[in-house]
Amino acid sequence: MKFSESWLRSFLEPEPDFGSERLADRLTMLGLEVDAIEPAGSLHERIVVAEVKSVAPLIESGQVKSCVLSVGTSSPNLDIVCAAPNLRVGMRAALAQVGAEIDGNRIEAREMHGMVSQGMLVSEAEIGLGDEAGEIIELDDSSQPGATLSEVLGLDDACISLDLTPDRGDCLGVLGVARDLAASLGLKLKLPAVEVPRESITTRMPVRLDAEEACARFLASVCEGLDPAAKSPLWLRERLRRSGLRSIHPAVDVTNYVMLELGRPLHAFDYAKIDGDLIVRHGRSGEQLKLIDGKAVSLDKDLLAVCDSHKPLSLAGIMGDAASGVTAETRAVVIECAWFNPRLLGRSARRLGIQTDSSMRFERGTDPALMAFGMDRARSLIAQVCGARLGPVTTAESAQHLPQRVSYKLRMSQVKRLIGQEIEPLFIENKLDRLGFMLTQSDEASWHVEVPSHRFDIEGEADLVEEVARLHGFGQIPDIPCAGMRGPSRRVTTTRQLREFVAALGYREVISYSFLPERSASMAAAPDSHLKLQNPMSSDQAVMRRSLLPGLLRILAGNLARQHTRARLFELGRVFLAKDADIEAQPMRLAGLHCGEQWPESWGQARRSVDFFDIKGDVERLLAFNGWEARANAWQPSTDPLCHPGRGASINVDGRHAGLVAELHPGLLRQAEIDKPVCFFEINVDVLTRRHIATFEAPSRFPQVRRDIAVLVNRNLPVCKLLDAVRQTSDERLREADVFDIYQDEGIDAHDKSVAIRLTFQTSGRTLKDDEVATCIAQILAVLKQECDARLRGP
Amino acid sequence: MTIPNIERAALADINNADTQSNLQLVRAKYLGRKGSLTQLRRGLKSLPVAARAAQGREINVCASNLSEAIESRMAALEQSALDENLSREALDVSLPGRHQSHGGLHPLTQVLHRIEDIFVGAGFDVVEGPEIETDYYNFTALNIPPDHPARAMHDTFYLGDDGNTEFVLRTHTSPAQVRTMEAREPPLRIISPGRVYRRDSDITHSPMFHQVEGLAIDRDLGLAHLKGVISDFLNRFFEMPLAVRFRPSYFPFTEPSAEVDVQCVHCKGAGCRSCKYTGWLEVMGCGVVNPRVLHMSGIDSEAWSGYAFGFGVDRLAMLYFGVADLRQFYAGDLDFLTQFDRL
Ligand SMILES: [Zn+2]
Repeated sequence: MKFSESWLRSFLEPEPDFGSERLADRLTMLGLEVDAIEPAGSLHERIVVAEVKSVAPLIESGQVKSCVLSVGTSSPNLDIVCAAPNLRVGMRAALAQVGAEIDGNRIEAREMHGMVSQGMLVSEAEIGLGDEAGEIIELDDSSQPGATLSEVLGLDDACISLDLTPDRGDCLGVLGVARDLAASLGLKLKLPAVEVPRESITTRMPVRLDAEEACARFLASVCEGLDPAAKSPLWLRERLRRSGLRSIHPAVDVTNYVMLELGRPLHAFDYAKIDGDLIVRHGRSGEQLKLIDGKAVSLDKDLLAVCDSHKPLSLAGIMGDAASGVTAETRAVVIECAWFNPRLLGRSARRLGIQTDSSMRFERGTDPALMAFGMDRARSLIAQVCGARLGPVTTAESAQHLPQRVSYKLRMSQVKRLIGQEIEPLFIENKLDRLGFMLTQSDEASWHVEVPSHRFDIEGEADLVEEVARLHGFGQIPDIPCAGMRGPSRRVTTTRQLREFVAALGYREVISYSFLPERSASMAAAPDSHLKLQNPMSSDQAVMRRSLLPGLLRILAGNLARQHTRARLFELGRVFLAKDADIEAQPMRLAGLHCGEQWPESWGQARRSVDFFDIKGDVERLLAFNGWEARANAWQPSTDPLCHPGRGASINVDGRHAGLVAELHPGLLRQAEIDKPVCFFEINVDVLTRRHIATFEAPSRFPQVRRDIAVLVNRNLPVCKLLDAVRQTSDERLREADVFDIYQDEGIDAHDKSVAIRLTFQTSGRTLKDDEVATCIAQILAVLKQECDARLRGP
Repeated sequence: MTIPNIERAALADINNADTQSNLQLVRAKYLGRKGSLTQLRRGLKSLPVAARAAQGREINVCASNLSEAIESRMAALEQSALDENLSREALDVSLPGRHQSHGGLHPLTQVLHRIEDIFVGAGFDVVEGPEIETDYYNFTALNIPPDHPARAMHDTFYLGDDGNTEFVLRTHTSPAQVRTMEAREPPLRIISPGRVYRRDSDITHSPMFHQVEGLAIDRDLGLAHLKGVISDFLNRFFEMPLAVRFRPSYFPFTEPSAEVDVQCVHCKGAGCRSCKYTGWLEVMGCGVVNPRVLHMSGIDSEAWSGYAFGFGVDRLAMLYFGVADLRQFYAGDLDFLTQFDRL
């Protein structure tokens, strides 16, 4: 919503005696946020009003004429050369005198056709006031010759743009803004004086409502005899311009003016194009509209149209059909003033993706009580501006479908409670009354408040309290310090610990979008398995990720392209596993990758590429840090296609898949345009969040006994099977079993490998005897033989 | 040679011995089996008995002196040999250590942790919720029924089959608060941080960004309590005393509603590019929870009232770090990310 400051001030009595800045600040603090204040325009002081005294052709049969101008009695008359078609004796025109500056260019005396022109008569376009470039500006006859144009046009004004919240439809007209301001400042609200000329014609426009829920009231009036030469007066065009609207046609300008002034949208039809009655009804299939902006719309039963007896004329409340619109040939217009249901109209506008000044206002609510006044305002202006003769106003209405006036109880106690401060009852009564609310005292501590018809956002007592708070001023409300709550309230911040630990392991956190291009999403999961966005902003953000991998690879590729040769990255965020929209299955994942050398290039470390065990080591540390000791049997070879075949493992906890650790498949990396090996892990955070509380056991004071054994097994046997078998003996005296060497070379059958295991025995109650340990080892070897075909190596 | 002469010569030899092995040779020369003193001792037998004792004593004293001198010299030589060895082992301690690369937390994570710490310190709990939300939790339960104009403020992403409007990517983290209100009894103090999604992209908007929304419900909480919390938070967050102002605004889930401006952190209110010369930066929205919202979540609005607030983590991070283009947070450029390791 944009309008001129002087227009707003004209609604206030007396006019506030402070400047634009304070006015804007007041609006902003009322909740009508001022987005910008710009000067209405600036013209050089040497651009003045000039009266044309005489005109003579300068060259034969040409447009170019010479004229004598008066710029006031105290200055000599000036000779000017001008070719404008509307130049005539007696007119008041705008003259840029010698020395005036326009867009930084100085006007000089110039010789033209053998005569010296002492300045230039200017058009609107030349001084940035409008589009009209052919004709020179014609000012009111009351304009004093010699007065600066800036003064005559009132350019000492500002254009105020408001960034309105969607609940304040009532402020989409200067009147509404002025009402809030008047209430806040304690000033009188002054409505424009409207004098409607006597109805001089009897032409009636019959109207009918066929969709009463969507359109509950419709007013129409015919205005005949539009003067083809009529132009909107400069003051009107200036107000439109300062609201960001162009002058189009005097009748259309008037409807726009009333819309800006009162927030009441109107529409003007060319009366000659209307065949029969005006009917507001839903569209029928097959009906088409070609809108003013050129867009074609096919009507259907959900779209409301204003029609004549044979065809649709406009998309009701949104935009008119080009064929029924006002043109330069129009000699009679019908003014439409209607009340459309905001919800239904908004739905249609959104469906079609059309927003107009009119639809925006209807969608946010228009005041049914202001319709007759708006109609009269428009008729009087059309009579004044276009010299039109007015016909009667015809009305169709369905009162039950109009918004009903509502009332709420407002309690003093609730005002105090929601604001946190006591507010004077007199203040409340005074301010709400000025905003148009009707208050009646119901008892000592409360009122019965009737909401005015122009407010569509008041839905209960709390909204009334907000009005009180707004007018009281949020700045006036004290700050009450927040008293701390006692006791532990912090959630177990596992995710924070994870992030910090992974960062400490040398991984750099990144945040990538939760949506991916379909192509890269399918690197990590089957192409059709992803949940799609219905309305992505681009095909790069088309589907929801099922894995953090594609996002990480994309960021990696970007960094490799920026000359990084090595990167350790991680992300923690949700993945979306349901193929169909569903709020289930949005687990949190932690994923990291390492690309390039294992160590940063350094004088002190041998260079080598990162490998599977580097990253598995990181994951083991991560799991151990979170109190989740990774048992050997949790690691199983993975068949996931993103893994290098034979170099990927899935982590299983209690039979559930908890994560993946892998060297990535070279084919996948080629697809991601990465030419270095990449190791990757992805872990389900829920697994790590599951907490158990450790139970304390006193450490044993008795010595540990360590024994090493080396066994020969089939070279393809996973070592974890051996360790599982060792632990299976479940002898509590065996505390630890670790693999410390693997050998599969000389002196060993090519099908075998030698695995060396260190066994640690201890008891808590006594020192173990040698033969006791020997018995334990014999048992273990027997199990290994049975389960794994393991043979003791050596003599 | 006389014993004193021998002793003098021996002490000179001891002092001149520059290595441990040379010193051993000196020891052999005087005290060894064929050494001078040993030979003198052997020669005692040939002396008259009367002279033997005196001569013997003299030899013993000399031998003891030499032994002591050799021990002491040996210790000195050992020390210098060790010193020399150690000095050969000296390192250039200015060389960098061996380590894995430096990791680090994303600037948004760092800012979020700061925010969480401030609110946790004030007794707020941290709650999370799903990012794919139902229309009900994202809109309706927050007093934004279908066709409400406020929906247009949100530019929502819809999921699944065309025309299905039940599931959305949450446009704010308020749904997590609704879920908490349904699940817990008041009094409540929670903040819900996380990713949110809106169809918008330019240097200050990203289709995915982060929000923190806060909610407190207690007996008689109002605008004044809200103002206290927000002012305190902003001052703590920016680590400087900044003026804060509350402007009336509109949110369907709060009534009254306010936008919060903080005095520009760059120019301290004098006016600069960051604040478009207004001296103020808009940082959050807030208000007193609309009784309809409490009601929909099953909370008695006559017995309880509360306040809610919400702000963009990205926006605060941009102000805090002076980042101009929001989208940089999501590009993953290491040269960008490694600049934030000093929070
Ligand atoms: Zn500033």
